[in-house]
Amino acid sequence: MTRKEYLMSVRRALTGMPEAEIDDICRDFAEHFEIGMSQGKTEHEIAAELGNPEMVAKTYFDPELITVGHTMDEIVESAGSVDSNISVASIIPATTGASAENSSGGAATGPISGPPEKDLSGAHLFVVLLNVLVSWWVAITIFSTLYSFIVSAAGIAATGVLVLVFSGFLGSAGMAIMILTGIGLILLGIAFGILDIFLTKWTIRGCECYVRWNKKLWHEGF
Amino acid sequence: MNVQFKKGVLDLCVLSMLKESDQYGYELANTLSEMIQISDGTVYPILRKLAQDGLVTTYLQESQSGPPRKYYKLTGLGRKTLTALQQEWQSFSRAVNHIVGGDAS
Repeated sequence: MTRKEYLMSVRRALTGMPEAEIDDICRDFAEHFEIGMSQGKTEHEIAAELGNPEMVAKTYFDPELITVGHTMDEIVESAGSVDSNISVASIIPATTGASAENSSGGAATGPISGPPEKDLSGAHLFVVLLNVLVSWWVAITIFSTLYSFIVSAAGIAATGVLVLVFSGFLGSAGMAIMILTGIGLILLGIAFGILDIFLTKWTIRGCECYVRWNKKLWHEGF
Repeated sequence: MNVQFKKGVLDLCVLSMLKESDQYGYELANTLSEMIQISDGTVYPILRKLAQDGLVTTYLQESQSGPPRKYYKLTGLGRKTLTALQQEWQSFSRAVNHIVGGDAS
């Protein structure tokens, strides 16, 4: 990331703050770049040392979010948020697998998190029951719906291809209609496919929120 | 190094580093990131918060190479807070060492 890109990212992430304050903060980072470069470092090196600009900028809104890690893992952990690059494979069992995943996820943040004197058994029971009785089935329903959606999208597109192929056997008048129908069907199939990709993305994001909420409940209670 | 460990002591570290002499952001960021493995960018939000809380003030000073630099200086309140935090840290770390060392049981 260049100096310009870095400052742009910071500025964007600070939207909502008074303009003068944003300028002031950006001046600090510009100064940091200038001093670093005068010592022979490249813009990319300095940007890497500064750390993720969005994360750094967020800290101005909430000092509790201080990102102290160098690695992404540490940053994610310290910010208490899950980055969007989390894989589907890791998120689905976490949603459906109830308590086992929740407790193992908690172990990563350390045994010292959360006040030990608080009675969490109620919250634990709630999380387990919620996942066993409700979330499991909801998740299966949602993901099978998404799956059937993408299958029908492929079906529609395939029909379009078939229509195109068979249009060759018809007379010229029917052929034009068939070709248009075929292309229409293929486009419709593609549109459904794209829609499904977005729906899946939002669903995964929703799952992440849900898992976070579960973890929070598990560790901090109601 | 454990992230949870670092979070609470960053204010104390920054204030301590300003105890002897005024410093500019780059210096503070570099020293801190080398010693306790934090990303450089972390320092600036902390400095800003300390300034807002009235623990440090800033002033610009020309440098031989490049543009003027923003220096950070402890205020009277900053010094008082530092002393209090230092004492708290001493007794806290002593107690933790005691427990971790196994002397408490």
